[in-house]
Amino acid sequence: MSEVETNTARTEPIPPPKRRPVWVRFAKAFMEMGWGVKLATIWLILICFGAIFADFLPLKDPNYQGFIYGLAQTNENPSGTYLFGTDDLSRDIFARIIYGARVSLVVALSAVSFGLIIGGFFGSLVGFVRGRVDTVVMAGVDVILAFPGLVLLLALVTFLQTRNLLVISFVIGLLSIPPYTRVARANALSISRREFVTAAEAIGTKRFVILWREIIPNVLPSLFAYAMVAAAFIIVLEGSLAFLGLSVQPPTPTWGAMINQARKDIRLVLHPVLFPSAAMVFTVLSLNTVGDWLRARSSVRGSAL
Amino acid sequence: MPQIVLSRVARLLATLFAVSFITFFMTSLLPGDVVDVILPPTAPRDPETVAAIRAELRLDDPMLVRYFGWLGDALQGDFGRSFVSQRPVLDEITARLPITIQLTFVAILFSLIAAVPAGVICAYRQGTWIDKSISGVVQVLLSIPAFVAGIFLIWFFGVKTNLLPATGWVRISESPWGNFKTVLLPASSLAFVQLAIFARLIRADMITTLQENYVLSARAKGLSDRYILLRHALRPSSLSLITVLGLNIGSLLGGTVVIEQLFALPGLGRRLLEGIFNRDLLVVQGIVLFVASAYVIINTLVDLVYVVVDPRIRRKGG
Amino acid sequence: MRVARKKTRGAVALLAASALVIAACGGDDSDSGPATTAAPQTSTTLDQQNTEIEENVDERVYGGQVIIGLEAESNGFRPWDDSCSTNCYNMSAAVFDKLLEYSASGEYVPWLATGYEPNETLDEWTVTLREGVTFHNGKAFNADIIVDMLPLQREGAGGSASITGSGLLDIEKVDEFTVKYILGRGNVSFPSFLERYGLGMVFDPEAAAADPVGFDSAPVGTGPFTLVKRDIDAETVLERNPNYWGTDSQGNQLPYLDRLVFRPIPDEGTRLDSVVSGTVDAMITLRQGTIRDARAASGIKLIEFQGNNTGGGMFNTASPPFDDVRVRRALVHANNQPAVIEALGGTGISASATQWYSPDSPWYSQKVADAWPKFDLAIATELLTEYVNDPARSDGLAVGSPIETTLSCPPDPTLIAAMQVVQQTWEATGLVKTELTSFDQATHINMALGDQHHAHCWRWADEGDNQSGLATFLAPPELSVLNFPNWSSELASASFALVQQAGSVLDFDTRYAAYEQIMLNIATEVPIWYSGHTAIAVAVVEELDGLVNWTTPDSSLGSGIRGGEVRWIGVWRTGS
Repeated sequence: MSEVETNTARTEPIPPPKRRPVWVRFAKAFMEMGWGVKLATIWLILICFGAIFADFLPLKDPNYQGFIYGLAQTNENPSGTYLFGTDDLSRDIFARIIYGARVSLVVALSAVSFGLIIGGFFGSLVGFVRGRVDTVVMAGVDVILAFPGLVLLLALVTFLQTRNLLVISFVIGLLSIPPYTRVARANALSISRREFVTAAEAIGTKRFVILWREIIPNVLPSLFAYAMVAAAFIIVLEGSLAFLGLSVQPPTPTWGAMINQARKDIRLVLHPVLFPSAAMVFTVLSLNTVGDWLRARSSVRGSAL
Repeated sequence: MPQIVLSRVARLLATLFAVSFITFFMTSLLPGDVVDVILPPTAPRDPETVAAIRAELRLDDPMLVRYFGWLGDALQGDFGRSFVSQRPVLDEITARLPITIQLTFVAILFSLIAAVPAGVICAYRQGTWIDKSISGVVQVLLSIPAFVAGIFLIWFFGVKTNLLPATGWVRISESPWGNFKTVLLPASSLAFVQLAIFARLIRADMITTLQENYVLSARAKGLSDRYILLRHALRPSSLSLITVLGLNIGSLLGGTVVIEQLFALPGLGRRLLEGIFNRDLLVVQGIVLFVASAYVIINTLVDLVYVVVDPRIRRKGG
Repeated sequence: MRVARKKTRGAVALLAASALVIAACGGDDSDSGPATTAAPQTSTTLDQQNTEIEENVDERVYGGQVIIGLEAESNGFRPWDDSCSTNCYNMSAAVFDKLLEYSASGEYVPWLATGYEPNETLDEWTVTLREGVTFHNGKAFNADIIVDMLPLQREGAGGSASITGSGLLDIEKVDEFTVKYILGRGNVSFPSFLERYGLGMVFDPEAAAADPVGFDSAPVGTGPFTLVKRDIDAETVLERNPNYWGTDSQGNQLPYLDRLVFRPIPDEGTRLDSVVSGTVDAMITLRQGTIRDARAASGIKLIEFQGNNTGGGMFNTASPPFDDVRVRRALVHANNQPAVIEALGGTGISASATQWYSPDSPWYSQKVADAWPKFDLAIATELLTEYVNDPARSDGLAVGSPIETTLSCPPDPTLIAAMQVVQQTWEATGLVKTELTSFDQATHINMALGDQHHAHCWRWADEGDNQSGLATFLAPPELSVLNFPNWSSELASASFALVQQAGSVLDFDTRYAAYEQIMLNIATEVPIWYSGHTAIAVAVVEELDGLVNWTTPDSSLGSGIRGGEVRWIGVWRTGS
């Protein structure tokens, strides 16, 4: 859209990664974090863990409505039995939040994978080779980005009619490609002007090899940082969709749908709105915080997307 | 410079063209017969009615003919009519537009009013506890989705304390004060995230400019801090602010869809949703095209402002 | 999806009959999905519970304005084309006069007509018209008007629906103030069509033909108010018609009020708060949750109405496993109706439903109520076990494996909640897998029309005796697209024969017996299920009077706020 990219790169050459075990590198990085970033990381790990292993955790059935048989109360306050209380159909809110994390995570993961793999690759490619391919691809990207994300998503989801997790993830994934492409391109553009790339070109290294060995590895860190922030954005986007009743079908719990379902009783009770909202805000906050930290580490200022 | 303006306008036209193309062909994603989909279930489906609609939508023409016919009409302000309300889509848009514009405008105003001082103070007192606590709050605000903020604003002001109307809309022509009361909560819900984005931007920008030579020399000249902050440091930041503002209009417009639904405001976003829920194809098509075009045009204008204001870009030649 | 479209497209025109589908659920978006019945009918008694309102009949006051909060903008003033909902009747009945009106005792009594008379076979209805009535534009009302309205009504969605539903073939002018409606078949409930929007509301056909679209913002009727401002989605303002022909039972000129202002206020809470705070003077709601809140509010008058209309759903009996009555009975036995009502927010407000008539309707039958399958998980499980272990089970799945169903409701938060309750009650048998889907209102209805539905949320019945609605509902699927569950069996055929008989006699007892037997047949084969009668309420500021005890020109007591339709002609404002 706008020509004024804020991605003026100040990238230092990244030293070749030392082959140490992942957990060691992770632990080292974790120790370097400030306490806010640490908390955010812990929260994200907890949410992921909960979402993945929800079936094995000692949770109540997230869809069980005891009130039908007189075994539970609707909109019950938090207690020892129901940690976060029950919702308008007497379901356990705590279990629904944990299971609800699944939808958010799957959608975010799908967006990140589509974005990183397709957007990241094409962005790096056109930023490196430039020329006509660049113009064409970026024109396409500009056109897609000309639509406000939620508006385009709404229109697509309506016209597609089917709304299961697969379709929602796929559509959101596709819509994620253009912004990643733009970020990757901006970074590739500046990296391709650096000495180690010009040097490689001078000694006659094949262009594909340069792209693979030099450009992409150096684009990735800032792209990861962007992915964190973008994932936060995607979670809000899916939440908005669910809030409008246009995401995954019930009874599958999703945070947005829980908030939407509970708001009709807001004159009576607050907690059925409060807990899923808090879960969403904490997750988005954590992603933003970790994203900022990653960005500072890769020392590239993110684009204004 | 004229050629820069020309090239920007040419690119604008190309983008608009592509946007209209996509908007038009999105409708062909719909499964089944378009006539079946757009006719309200209760409308008669005798051959004449169906034929009339097919003719109206040029359904029997080849795709490209259809597209250019539609585009030609759209350029003359004819987006077709709603098959539910029978009103022209353009009328539907213009009837709802003022509310969305006011909402967006007030949201931007609110966010700037809060973001500018916050960003300036943080930059000026960089690293102190003031900076840290304001930045912390800003980081949290950045992470609160508009609809979540809206629900809690409704709960606090509308239900708990009953200070403001929870939902609904009073037109400014009816009662300016009533209008202000109804716009306050929805605009605030939208403003939080924008506020955070702007405050972060201003802070980062000003930290950079405060280290520039001309600011340092102004300081050396003994000019007051306030004068330096406002005259020398804030002004360059306002350029990037305008850019981000232009880009964020997109997410703001998306946000108004959700917020208008939550606060029951009869704006464009709500009309879009109504169109979606009623399968009112031409209304959806018209609004999507309108919103996307507005967004593209706004950003081109932002670009042009940039070109006019900032000599460095003028020289670089876009 | 499951069954190919077998019904002709032409028949869909008839479908327009379900103009009320939209009326009941579209614009109004009330609790339980679309309604099915085509037309309002003959008698029922008025049910206005909690009507502890003492109206001061002697102190009628002229002047003043009333602001009315509606839940949605009404598609307004084109009686031959629009479908009309509660909102629409509130506005349109103030601008147009209806030929007949519905009385408290459940009869159709003269309004703009002065009388009506059927022939022996009930297929010719002679209607005499009021003399000396003029339209807002000064034009005289006479038989030609009625005749000239017909071509427009044939073309419009609302009118053509009523024409198909009533069996109307033609209208003949007998003399200057007499017309004869000629039907293709005997129809005892024809007068009900002269009381509804499609055929009953009198407009100036010349003005309508001249500018069919513009008529919405410049309607010409004979009614007590004229339109002065139509600002869509903001407000519609009506002013007193000083030349109105009507008087009240004491000979006072009608109407009493000077101005009516209608404002759409979609949010239920805001609309109620607006009445409590006095910003608006009246509001109408079809939501149980709002009625719950209104009961607790002080300083307002609340008039509640509980009619025949009921939420619920249907099984597509053409689609396995719903073609097997054991499965349908099992699922109804499994369904805990009070829990569904609770999910809808209607505990203590809506009564459980067992038939198309509320307990206050003269057509209500205790026998049917007793016969309707009760909530009983054991019986449900037993029936399902029998089905899934049947080697000849109709869905072709492996013996012993659970049945697979799809349940679909429109995307309204309360409906979504209710839908999840139904899903759980079915799945609690351990022998049902239910997938939930939800589509926008229009798609939802289209799916039912195209037989692409499986288990589907729907609304049943309306405020009359449901003769026409039942007739289209019970007609064999190949004849009527409105037989949404595609119910065809011996009992279905027998029911159709009964409803046809009932349509051609005037005797109450004969008709009652027929409807009772039909309802018993439905309770036996359960092609549909219920989730509580719909509650409707009107909340007004205390200064308003005359909502309940208005009278018709022949001094019959009117039907109050039946279906949430307030007759603003009879309302006055004290202390203004």
